[in-house]
Amino acid sequence: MKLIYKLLVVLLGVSFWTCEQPLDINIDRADPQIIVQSNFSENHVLQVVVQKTEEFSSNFFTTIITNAVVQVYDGETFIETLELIQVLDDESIPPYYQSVFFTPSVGIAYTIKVEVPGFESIFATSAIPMGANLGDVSFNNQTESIEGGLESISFEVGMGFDDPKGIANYYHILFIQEVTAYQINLQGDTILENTTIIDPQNLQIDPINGDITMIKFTDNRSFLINDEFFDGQQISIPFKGKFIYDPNKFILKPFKVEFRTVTRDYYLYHTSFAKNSQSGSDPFSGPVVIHNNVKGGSGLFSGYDTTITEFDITN
Amino acid sequence: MKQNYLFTFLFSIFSFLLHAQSTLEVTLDFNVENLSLEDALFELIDQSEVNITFNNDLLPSNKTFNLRLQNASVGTILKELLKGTNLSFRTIENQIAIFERKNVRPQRKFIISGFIENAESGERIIGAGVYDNKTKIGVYSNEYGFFSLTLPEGEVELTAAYLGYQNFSDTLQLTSNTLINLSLQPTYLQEIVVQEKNDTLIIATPDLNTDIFSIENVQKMPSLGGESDVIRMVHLMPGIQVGSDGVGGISVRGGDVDQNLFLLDGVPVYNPYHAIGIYSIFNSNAIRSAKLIRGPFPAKYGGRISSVLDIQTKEGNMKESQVEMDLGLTSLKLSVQGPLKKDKSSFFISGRQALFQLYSVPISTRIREADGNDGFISYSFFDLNIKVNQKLSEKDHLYASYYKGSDSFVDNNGLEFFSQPDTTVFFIDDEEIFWGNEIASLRWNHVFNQKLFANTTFMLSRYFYEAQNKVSIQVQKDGDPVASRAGFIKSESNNRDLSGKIDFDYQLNENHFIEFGLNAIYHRFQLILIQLDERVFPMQTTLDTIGNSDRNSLDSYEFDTYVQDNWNLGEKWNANIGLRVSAMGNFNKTYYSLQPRFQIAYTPNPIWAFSAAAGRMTQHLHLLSPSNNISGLPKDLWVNSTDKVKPQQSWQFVIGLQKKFRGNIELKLDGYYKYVDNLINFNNVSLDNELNSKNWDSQVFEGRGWSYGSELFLQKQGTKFLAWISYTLSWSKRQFSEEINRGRAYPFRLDRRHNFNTAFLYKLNEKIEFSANWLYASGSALTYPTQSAWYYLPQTQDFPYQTIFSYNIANSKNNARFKPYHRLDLALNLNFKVRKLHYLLKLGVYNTYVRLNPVYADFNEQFSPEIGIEREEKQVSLLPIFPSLRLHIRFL
Repeated sequence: MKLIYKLLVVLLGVSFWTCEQPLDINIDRADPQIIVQSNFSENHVLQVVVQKTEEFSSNFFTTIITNAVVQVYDGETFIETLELIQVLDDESIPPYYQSVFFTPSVGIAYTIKVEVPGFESIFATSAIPMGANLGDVSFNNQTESIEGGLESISFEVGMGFDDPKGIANYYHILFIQEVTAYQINLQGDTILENTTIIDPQNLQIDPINGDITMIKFTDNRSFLINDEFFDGQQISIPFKGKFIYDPNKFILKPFKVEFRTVTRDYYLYHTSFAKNSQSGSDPFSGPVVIHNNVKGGSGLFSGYDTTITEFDITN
Repeated sequence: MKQNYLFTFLFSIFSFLLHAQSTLEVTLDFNVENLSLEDALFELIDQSEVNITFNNDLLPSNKTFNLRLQNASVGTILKELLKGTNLSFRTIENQIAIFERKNVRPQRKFIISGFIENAESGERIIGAGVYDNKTKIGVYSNEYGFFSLTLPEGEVELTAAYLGYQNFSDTLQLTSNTLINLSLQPTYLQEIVVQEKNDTLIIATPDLNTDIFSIENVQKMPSLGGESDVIRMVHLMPGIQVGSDGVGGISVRGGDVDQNLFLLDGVPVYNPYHAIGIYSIFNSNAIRSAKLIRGPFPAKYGGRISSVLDIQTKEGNMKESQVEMDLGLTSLKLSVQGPLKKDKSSFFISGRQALFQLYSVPISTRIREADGNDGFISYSFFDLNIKVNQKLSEKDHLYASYYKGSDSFVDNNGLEFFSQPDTTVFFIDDEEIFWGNEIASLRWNHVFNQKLFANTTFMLSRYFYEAQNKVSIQVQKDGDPVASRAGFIKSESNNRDLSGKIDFDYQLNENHFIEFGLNAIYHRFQLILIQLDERVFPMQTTLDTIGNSDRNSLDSYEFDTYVQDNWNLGEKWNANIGLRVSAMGNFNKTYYSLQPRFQIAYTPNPIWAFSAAAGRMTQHLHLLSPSNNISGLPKDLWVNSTDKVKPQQSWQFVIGLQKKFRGNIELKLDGYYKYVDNLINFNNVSLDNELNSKNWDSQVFEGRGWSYGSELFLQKQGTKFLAWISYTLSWSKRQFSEEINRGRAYPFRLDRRHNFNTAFLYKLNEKIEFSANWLYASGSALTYPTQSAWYYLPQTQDFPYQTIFSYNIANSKNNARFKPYHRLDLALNLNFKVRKLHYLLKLGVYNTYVRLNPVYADFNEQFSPEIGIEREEKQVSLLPIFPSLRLHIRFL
C-alpha cells in the first residue's frame, strides 16, 4: 500500500496542485457506548475491563470506567460482584474489575452484568470451551553472541494437537519470553528487578511452512487459528523464531508456549483487531468493524482453555 | 454525412410503409345495390378517389352486389367485394392492383455472404449492417467483417451501412448462392459520437444493453490530458459507476470491479489500467472498434459475470502506408501502418510513451534536496500494439497481434543518517516496481461456405508484477568508501493464460443465425515469489523463495462451449437464446455450470421497442483485493476457484423500452436486478505477507451481493451536433460471513444512488469542433471511524490486561459517504491541413471549475499533554484541474 501512496503523490505532483482538504463527509456519529473486555480461564479469577468510547473528533482518550457495578452469574444465579483493582505503579495496566472468590469452570455458561450510570445494563455470556489434546511440544535453541554484547537466540518450536472432529474449534498459540532486569551491586550481589515480556520488536516468530493459515496476533508473537480446513485432524505446526536480548541487563526466564482453545467470539474479536492493525496503510480500506458479543454495548466476554509448556533456554 | 445517408434510407422506407397504409386505410361510407363487381369497383374509385387497377376479363360477370358499409376502409371494402373470388389485391406505390391468385411453387432461397471492408484501407468492418430493402431482412457483420444473409430468389436491393461510412447500395438478381465483398467508403468529421445498434441499422435487435463506440469520435470528446480513452466514454454510459477520477476500476450495474471482461482482440486482459485506473491501456490510436455489453451478455461471452468491453485493434491499411503522430503534455504516440503486400497483407504498429517522468523526477529531486536527501521518484508507462494480417485466399485470413504495456515506478532514496567530521554513513534505499500486461494472439478466419464461417484463435495473456528493493549502507571516511553492505528483496507475481478457441457462425436460414464454439484455457497464477538476502535482514524470515516456486503456482483449466440462436420470430419479434456450458478444474476439484442466456425484443412499430433479457453467468476467477474492492493496483492478484472457494455466479434480469421521437430524439429506459453468489472478501492482511497458493483460500470469506436500479438514456442527434443524457438510479449491497461487518449487509463501495452524465458535441464547421461533458454522481461509500477506545491484550498467566493501542471504531462497513462527485470537462478541436499533413490540435480542460473530488479520506493523530489527541482529518483529491494541449498529425 506504500506504493499506492507514492503513486498518488506522483500524480499529485504532475497536476501541480496540493489536493488535501479538511474532511467533509456524511456520517452518522454514534453515541458513546460501553466496551467490556474479559477473557477468562479455568481456576483463575475473573477480570473485566470497562471503558466508555470517546467520540472520534474528541481530544480526550477513552475513559476507563471505575464506578461500574460488575456482577457475574451462573445462568440466572448470582455468584458475585467484582471489585475494582487499580495498579498504581504501572500505567499500562488499566483499572479492572476482579472476582474475589469466583473462579470459572470448564463448560459452564457464565453471564456478566455491567451497570454504568447513564447507560443501559450490559450483558454478555460465555463459557470455557473443552480444550483440544495438546501433544508433545518440542523446543531447541541456538545462542549466538552478536555486536554490542547482545545475544541472539534462534529457536524452533514444534507442537501438535488433536483437533476434535465435527465442531468448530479455534486456537490461540502464544510464545512468551519473559526477562527479569537485574543489577549487580558493589558487593557483587545480584539484585533482581521487574520481570517483563520481551519487547515484541526484538522477537520474531513465524510458522516454518504456510500450510496452515493463521492470523498473526496484534502482539506480534502469537497466532490465531481456526480448524475450518483441518477439522478432526492431528495437526503439527513447526515454528521458527529469533530474539535478541542484552545478557548484561536481563536474565532470561523460561520460554513459554501457551496453547489456548478459545471460543469463536474470542477468535473473531481478536482477529478483527489483527486485521484492523494491518489495514492502516491502505487508503481505501478504512478501519475493520470489530466483532462483538456483548449486548447493550460492545466488546468481548469469552472463556478459553489453556495449557502452558515451559522450556529453559540453553546456552 | 454518414448519418444523412442513413436517415435518407430510413426515411424512404418509412415513407413507403406509411403511404401504403394510407391508401388502403382511406375510409368512407360505401353503399351499392345490384351492381356488378366492375361497377362496384368503379363506384369505389369514385368515392374514395383511390386509384384501383384491374383487368375486366378477370372479373366474374354473373355476380351482383348489395353492400352497405359505414366508415369502412378501402381495404375492408375490397375484401368484401372480392370475397368468394380467386382475386386478391395489393398496393403498388400509390395504386391498388387487383390480380388473380395463382398456385405458385415455394420461392427458392439463396445466401449472400462475404466480407465488409473499408474501401480505403481494406480493413474489415465489425458490426456493419447488411440489409435487403425488399424483404427487410438484415444482419450484422461479425468480429471479422463477415456476414451471411439468406434471401428469396429474385431481385435484391442490397444496402450496407456503418457508422462513419457512406452507405453501399446495389440491386442484383439472386439466382444462386453468392459471395460478395462490400467496400464502404469512409466519411470524416462525423456528427455522431455514440451510436447503439438499434440506431445504426433499421433492423430491430433485442439488445438494449450494448453500446458501440465510434473511436474516431471518441477522440473528439474531452479527455484527461488530451489522452482520448475509450474507458472514459464508458464512464458516461448508464449503469456504470466509477471511483473518483477513475481510480480503482469500474462497477457495472452494481457488480464488483473484477467482474468485467476486458477483451483486446479477443484476449482477456487482467489489468486494463495504468496509474491505478486513471488511464486505460487501450491506446485510442490503435483501436478500431469498441463494444460495451452491460449484460446479461450473449452466450458467446463468458468468464466474467458483469460486463464485456470488447476492443478490436486496427488491422493495418492494405492499400497505402500511413503515419500518425500524437504529442501531448502527458504522452507521445506514434502509429505506422501499411501494406506488406498490397491488398494481401498489412501491418499496424502503435506505441505510446507516458511523459510523467519528465515532471515527477525534477519535482521529487527538489523536494528531497530540500530535505537534505538524494534521490527521486519516477513514474511512467508505455504501450505497444503490433498487428499483422495476411489474406491467404478469398476464404482464409490470418491475423497475428501482440500487445505489451507496463507501468514503472522507481523510488531512489539516498539518506545520510550519520555524520561525524571524518566519517559519514549513507543509507540508500532503491525501490523499482514494474507491472503490466503482455498479450499475443494468432487468429485464422476460414469461410467454409456461404453459411458457415469459423475463427480459430490461439492466445497468450500475461500479467506480471516485479518489485525489487535494494538496500545498502555505505561508510565513507574522508569521502572515500571504506565499508559497505548491501542486499535486496525481490518479489514477483505472474498470471499466465494459455488458451485456444474456435467460434462458428452458421446462417441456418433467414430466421436463424446460429453461433457456437469451444474454448479452452490453461491458467497459471504465481502469487508471490520472494527472494531475500538475509545478511541485510537478519530479523526477517520468508516462506517463499524463487527456488521454491511450486508452492506458489496455482494451476487450473477451463473448458467452455456455447451455442446461441439469433431467431427472427416474424416481423415484430426477435429473440436470442443461448446456452453456455463451462467446466473448470484445479486438479482437486472440478466445477460445472450451465449458463442459459435469453433475450427477446418486440418491435410493434418503428417508434417503439420493448425488450427483456435474463441470464446466468459464471466466473471462475477472483481478484484478491485487500482494499475495499479496488482493481488496477500494481499487485492485482488473481486466483482461480478451489475446492474451498467456489466460482462466482450471477443471475441478471433486465426489462427495457425504447422510443424514438421526432427530431432524432431517442429514449431508452430499463430496469435491472442482479444477484451474485460466492463473492469473496479477502482478509485485510497485506498481500506481501505469508500468502501462497496453498493458503490463500483460507484467508477469504464468501458472501453474496445484489443490486438493482433503473437506467435512462436520452440522445438527440442533429446535423451539427450530438447530445445525450444518461441517468442511473441504483442500489448495490454486499453481505458476507460473520467476519465481515459482523455478518450484516452493507452498501457496496460504489453504491452511488444517483449518477447523471451529459455530453455534448458541436461541429461549428469542418475545422472547428467543441465538446463538453458534465458528470454528477452521489458520493461513494467509505468506512470511517466514529469512536475510539483502548484495545487490551488478553491477559496471560502472569500479566493482567495490558494496553496495546488506542483503536478507532467504525460501527459498520462503508458507514460514511463522500460528498457528490461532479466535474465539467471541455474540449476544442481544430482541424487543418498544411500540404500533405492533416493536423488536429486539441485544447481541453479536465475538471474545469476545480471541483475537489475526494479519492480517499485519511487522518493524522498526534498527542500532546496539553491538548490530548489531535486529529487532522482530511480528504485527498487527485485532479483538481488539468488543462491539456495535444497535437495529432496524420501524414496523408
